[in-house]
This record gives sequence, C-alpha cells and structure tokens, in this order.
Amino acid sequence: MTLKVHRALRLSLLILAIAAVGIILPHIFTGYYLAILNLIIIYYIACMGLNIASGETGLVSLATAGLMCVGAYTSAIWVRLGVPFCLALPLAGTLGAVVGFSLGYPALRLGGLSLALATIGFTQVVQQVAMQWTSMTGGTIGMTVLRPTLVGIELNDDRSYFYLTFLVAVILIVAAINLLKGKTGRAFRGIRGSEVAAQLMGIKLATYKTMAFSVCGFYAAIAGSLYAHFAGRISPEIFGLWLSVSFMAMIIIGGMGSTILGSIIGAVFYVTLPEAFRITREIQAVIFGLAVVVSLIHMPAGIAGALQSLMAKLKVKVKSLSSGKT
Amino acid sequence: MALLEVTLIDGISVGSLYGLLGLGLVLIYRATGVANFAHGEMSMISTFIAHILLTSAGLPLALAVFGAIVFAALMGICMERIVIRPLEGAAPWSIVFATFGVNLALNGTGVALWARNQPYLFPPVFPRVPIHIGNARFSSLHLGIIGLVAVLVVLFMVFFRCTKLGLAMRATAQDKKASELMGISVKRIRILAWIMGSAFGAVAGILFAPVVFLETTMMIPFLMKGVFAAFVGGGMVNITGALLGGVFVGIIESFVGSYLFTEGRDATALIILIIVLLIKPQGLLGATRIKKV
Repeated sequence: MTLKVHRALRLSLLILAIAAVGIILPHIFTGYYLAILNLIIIYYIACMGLNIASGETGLVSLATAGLMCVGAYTSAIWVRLGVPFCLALPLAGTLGAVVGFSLGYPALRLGGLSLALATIGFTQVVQQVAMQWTSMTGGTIGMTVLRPTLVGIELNDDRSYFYLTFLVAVILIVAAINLLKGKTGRAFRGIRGSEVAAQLMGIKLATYKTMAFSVCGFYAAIAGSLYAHFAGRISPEIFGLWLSVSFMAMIIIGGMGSTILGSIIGAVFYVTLPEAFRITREIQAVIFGLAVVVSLIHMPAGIAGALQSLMAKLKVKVKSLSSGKT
Repeated sequence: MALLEVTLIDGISVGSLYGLLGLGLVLIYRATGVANFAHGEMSMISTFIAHILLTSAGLPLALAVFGAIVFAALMGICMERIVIRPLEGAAPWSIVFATFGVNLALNGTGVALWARNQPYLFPPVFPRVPIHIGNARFSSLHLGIIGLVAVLVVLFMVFFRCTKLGLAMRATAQDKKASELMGISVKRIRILAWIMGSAFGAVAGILFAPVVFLETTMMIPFLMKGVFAAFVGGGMVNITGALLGGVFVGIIESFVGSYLFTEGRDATALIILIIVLLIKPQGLLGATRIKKV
C-alpha cells in the first residue's frame, strides 16, 4: 500500500516537474530562440520515430522526409478544407502510420543496402507526387499553412505553439518509453541483434518489422504536421533526400538506439549548429557530414553512448576511491 | 519516325553514362563491400575541377580531363584510407552512412565554392554538329558519348578479363582470404578499385555535364540512376548488368519523357527500382544468393 502511494507521489512530482519545465522554458527563451526551440522539438519527434525503427530495430530507413511530407501535406490540406486541427494532427499521424506500415512490408524481404535504397526511392516518389499534384499541393511553389486553432485558442505566436509541441512531445516520449520497455521493445532489440535468433525465440518478424515502421511513420507524420503549421509555408523541396539523410545523421551523432536521449542530442546539434556559429548552410553541411564520419569511427554509439560510458567509468572510479579509503 | 530514333539514341547515350557511374559503384562494391553513396558528389567535384582547369587555367580539354581524373583518383584513395579503412568490421549500415556523411560534406563544399555562379556551361567533349542518318538527325554529342563509353568499357573488360591485375581483382571480389593466401595484396586491390571507380565516376560526370548544365545539384538524380543501374541490372555485383541496367533506365526515361509526360522521368526510374527490389532483390541479371543460416 505504501509502495503504491510512494509511486503515485513520485509520478505526480515528475508530472509537476515536466509541467514546470514546459511553462518556464518559453519564458527563458523568447523571440527567435523560441522559434529554434520549437524546431528542435519537432525534429526531436521525427528523430524518436526514426530511432525506434533504425536504432532499436536495426531497419535503416531514409524514408523520414517522405513520411514527414505525407504528414505535413495531409494536415495542411485537411485544415484548409475545414477539419479542426485537433483532428487533423492525429489523422495525419495515423495516415503516416499506414504509409509506414506499407513501407514496412518491403522491409520483410529487404535488408541493409536494399532497404536503404527502397526507402530513398519512397522519399523521392513522395516528393515527386507533391510536386506534380498541383491542384492539391500547389506544386513546386508550395502552399501556405495557417497556424492552427486548438479548442478555441488560436496558437498564433511561438509561445502558445511551443506549449502544443511540448505537450505532443511529452506524450510521444511517454509512449516511446512504454513501447520500448515492454515485450515490443525487447522484440525490436532482438531483431536488431539477430533476425534468425529472434525468429527462433518466437518473435514474428513480419509483425514487429511492420510495427516499427508504422511507429516511425506515425512520429514522422506528426512531426511533419507540426512543422507545416509552425513554418506557415511548405513546399516539396523541403522534404527531399537531404532531410532524410540529415535525420539519419542526427541519430547517428546523437546515439543510435538511444531513442529518448540520443534523439534530442542529435536534434539540438543539428538545429543549433548553424545558429550558434552563424555559418551558412553549406558550411553546416560540411561540418555535419564530417561529424557523422568522425562519430561513426570514434563514437559508434553517438554522443549519448559516449556520455553513458563516461558516466559508467566515473561510477567505477568513485566506487574504487571510496572502497580504497575504508 | 525520326522522333523514335532520336529518343532511342538519347536514351542509350544518357543511359550509358548511368551505366558508367554504376560500373564504378560495382567495382568498389565488389572489392570492398562498400556501397559508395558519395560517388555522385565525388564525380561532381571532379567535373568542377575539369571545368576550372579548362576555363581558369586555360588548359586544353584533354589535359583538363586528365587532371580531373587524377584528382578523382586521389579522392578515391583518401576515401579508402581515411573513411573506409577505420570502419572495417563495423556494421554495414554504418559504412553506408559514412559515405552519406562524405556526400553531405562534399556537396556542401561544392555549393560553398561554386553555387553562386551556376549553372555553368560545360564545353562538350565532342562538337555539337548534327549528323544525318536516314531522315533522322542525331546530335554528335550523344553518338560520341555512346562511342566513348563503348571504347572505355571494352578497354576495361580487356583489363578485367585478360590481365593478371584484373584476375587479382576478380579473385579478391570472390574470396578475400583465399586471394590473400595466393599472394594478392587485398589492400592494394581495394585502393585500385577505389581509384578506378572514382575515375569512371569523373569521366561520367564530365561527359554528363554538357548534356545538362554543370550545377552542384546535378548529381543527386544522376547518382540515383547510377545506383539504380548497378542495383537493378546486377544486384550491385554484376558489371555487365550495371551497364545494361544503365542503358535500360536511360531508354525508359527517354521514352517516358518524349511520349508520355516530361515530369514523370525521374519518378519512373525510381518506381521501377522499387518494383525490382520487391520482386527480385538480387537484380535482373544477378544470381540468387542463398543465405546460409
């Protein structure tokens, strides 16, 4: 009984702490920094989805930009047609999950390189569709997207929009933690370790691979929808292969297989790098590309992995010091 | 009637360049097991080097092309030594993404250096004079490309099939351990594969630049079709397959472009790629690989 009370207390404290962070953050960061913060959270959501498919399950995917594109356009078009945003956002996510599911189907037959290629093809095809379907998407010129209204509140400034992205991100983080903690997460990691061994243990490859891709699609489409309404303008060229590669690079630098921590490190790195040093996009691409190579060679588990092993080393040191004294 | 023939020649010539790019990819893949996604950007940088040697340094065309090929070879060596070798034994996807990282870096470098004044007009290697055959009029550029690629491929095949070094390359692709035991320096063969692959990429880029314009963005669709050629044709391991795959995609693209709709060119190739991956992942000419468990 006391244990239950204890847990409930801890949980409510955690919720309070998160809420406090959510409320305080947009007061520390204002104006331009708030826009960057929004962008980080949006990228973080897509990174989490990708990390679940690639980092946890080992399915290399360059479909993120395509899935994001699906979410962005779906939500933008539906809101324009009069669907309320609180419906359009989850619907966009659901459609992303469906597309992700159908993308996960080829993943059953393909692995490694061929899967990367098929997902590149997917991203390019989605981009082409967005370009050619002019009546719906506005073609290469793109389309204007309005800031949404949520249950009567207009989210027309970055601060109120931050509350939305933050809330969505928290929900998705909790969902990811729950998903990865249980049977599903174990199955994902089993598949990453060895498909054959996982199959022998009774893990259905078909179910879990398509599930990983669906989750990835859901997260990416939600991120796409949030991005569309945040940016106010979307065009097909944004959702190209480069964006997919960038997402993959983000989770490589942040930490493959570290869905919660690694993804945020990668997103922060990607978004703040050009802002912090005031460098052009090209130089950013150079630094980012080199960072991927360096981190693959020297830190295969990304910054998150490096931090974790550093912490473990420190712990051992502290322990040996304290035991040495006594 | 003339449209048909011109479309066909267009398709074959551009397709043979896809094939050449694919050939470089296959060479590197067979020797080292690396799918080099930086291939397109390496080729782009080499083409720009040729352009600079040609315009700023004022060298004759042949020397400029030679310089660009040497540069490409050096880039290939750097790639092998700096990026690929330290990653030996790592997961295959991580090597793929290392090449993607190099791709990002090279593209950024290219854009930073040259994007301001693009598109550049790259002087064609062959003069643009129309050639009349029957009642159709072909551009000598396209016919020249086909001829040159054919000569290159024949030379390469002779090297690959009839020389000792070619034999060593084939042996390495088949079994690294056994070749090493036979006294082949696998390390050297790998570097050779990178040099040759990059050089083929540079030639493909230089021949391709006059067909489109020389731009920093020209290589993304071009590379995709090279990969397409290598993959669809021969599952990344078959050299003839890569060439035929390139010509195949070139012809299809050209026909879709002139008879159906211009906008569908790029998407068609990709859709075929996805379909082939789904139905026959080992490529149209590739042998079925049996996975032992």
